[in-house]
Amino acid sequence: MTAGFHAAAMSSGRALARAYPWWPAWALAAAAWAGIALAAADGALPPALRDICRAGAVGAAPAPAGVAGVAGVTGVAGVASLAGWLWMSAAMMLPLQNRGAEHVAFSQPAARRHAAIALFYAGSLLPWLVPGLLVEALRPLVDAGQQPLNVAAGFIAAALWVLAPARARARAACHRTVPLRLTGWRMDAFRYGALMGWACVRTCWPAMVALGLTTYGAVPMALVTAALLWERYRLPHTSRRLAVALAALAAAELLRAWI
Amino acid sequence: MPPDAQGNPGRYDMSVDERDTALDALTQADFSVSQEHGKQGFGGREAAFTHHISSHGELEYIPHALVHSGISGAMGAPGTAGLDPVFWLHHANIDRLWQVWLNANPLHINPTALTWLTYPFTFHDSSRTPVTLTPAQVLDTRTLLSGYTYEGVAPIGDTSPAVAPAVGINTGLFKTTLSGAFAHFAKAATDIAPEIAAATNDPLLLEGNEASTGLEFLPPTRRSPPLVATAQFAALAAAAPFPGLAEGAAHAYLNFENITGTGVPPVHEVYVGRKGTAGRYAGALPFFGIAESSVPDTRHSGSGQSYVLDISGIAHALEEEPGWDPAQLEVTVRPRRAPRPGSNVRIGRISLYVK
Repeated sequence: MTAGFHAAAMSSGRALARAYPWWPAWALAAAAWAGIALAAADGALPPALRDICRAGAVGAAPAPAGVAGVAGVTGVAGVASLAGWLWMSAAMMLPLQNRGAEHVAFSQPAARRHAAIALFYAGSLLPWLVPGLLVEALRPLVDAGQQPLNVAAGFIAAALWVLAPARARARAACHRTVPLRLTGWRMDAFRYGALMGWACVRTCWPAMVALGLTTYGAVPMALVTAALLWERYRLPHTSRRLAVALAALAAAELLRAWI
Repeated sequence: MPPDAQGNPGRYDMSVDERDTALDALTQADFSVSQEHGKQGFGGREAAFTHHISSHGELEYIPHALVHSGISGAMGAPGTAGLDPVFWLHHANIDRLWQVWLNANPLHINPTALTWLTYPFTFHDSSRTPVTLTPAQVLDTRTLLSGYTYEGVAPIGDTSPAVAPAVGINTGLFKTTLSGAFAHFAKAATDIAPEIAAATNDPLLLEGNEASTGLEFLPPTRRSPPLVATAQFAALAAAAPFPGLAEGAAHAYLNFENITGTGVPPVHEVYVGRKGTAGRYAGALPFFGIAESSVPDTRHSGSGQSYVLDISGIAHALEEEPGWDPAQLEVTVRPRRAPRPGSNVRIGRISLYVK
């Protein structure tokens, strides 16, 4: 009886994992979020890991000296800064790629499914290096003393971007599929991931850059992530409610600073 | 659009091929399915609150799209179809068939997901003013306009579903019920998706003439191991083995993926058989709306279209032929008439899925 129940549970678990092939990316994003939460709880992480988190604008405090600026990107601290940015991107962006992961998963036999999905997700993170470098270039120009205004301005810009036709085209591109070959599947999966990642960059870059520039903390990141997930999986493509949500975040930040 | 010799507004054909009006869609158990490469359900594949799924539900495919493309002319493109009076008869009939399907079995139900019920579609009223309507607003025809019902909506044939339809999990952002979630996951756990067995490695270009291609089969060791622990698959495997095509498969689906093109191509017929033979008729590809689905814009991802043909019967028949070898499988795509200038089609991948 127990063995039968165990077998049925294992069978159902395998079938569910098969039906929802994007689950490893959600697990990875959850782990990234756990790291972010630990970083936000200052001191809970080893110093090196905490610095990486802060460099990616996920900590509560400003980035450590030497991280900011394009020149820093060439050094160890710069690499750590970009790693932190990719960490943030993984936490926030991987859960938005379910459609592409499903396409990759079911275009290939099960024996290579996990490898293909891993290559797809790796490819999808690659384009985020572009706004990451942009953040590093802009960081010295941002006055850390005007944090609430910076945050609010970033969210307002992100809200306006939601209303732009170019953003609507980018959002549509997030649902793109392409033929994936059985021979040459590794390169196809990675390239398709990069294509989808670039669509994601075009869609979400203002909000992400705003978060990256402000070294603002885990709570706004979580709110922006929730808003993006809400838009991707719950709102029709014609909806502009995300703009309202981002404007509300900007107003909340200004209100918090004023109080 | 100029009239043709008979005075009809740009129609290419005044009759529709009998095979294009088959009512197999009415035998579908589910309105929507979550799978990409097998049966597409009566209404089509589930989509996250988007308009970008490029595959077709069974009713949308036959008779909807094939009648559009078969008549062609104005009817052959979404942007002009409404100019032909037959469009309104055709869509009223599609609406009637929806009611026939609903009446056929108490388990035939419309989706209950909020994302489906509240999806906004934009039309224009008689004064050209844009009007947005949602499925929830038009489900009951007795409350639409002055109220109407269809005659001839009795069930057709045996439409007993094999399984209960899926329960919508997302009946609202904060309205996901525990029972709905369990039912959704339970269905996902038992509804095994088809697995790929073979595919083309290069796109197939249709330039007005017949085009044929073979499929590259995965070596047996690379094919997906059957989910022997899953009772459903084990039952399927025991019921109808396909020893040569794909071990244990009971159903075979021919997928045409990422079809892009321009203009209004003619309907193309698909034949499947041994290399060098005429092959057996497997279905037809309408390409209705292909130009719109091929160009990325605010409403389309540019992925093109996808069609799924159930070729289980053909696969069984080929299996029974002496000396059959899957490597001999050939897919032929043949236009029903000469294409108009400016139309072309590119099929991104042709693949064979088994279940």
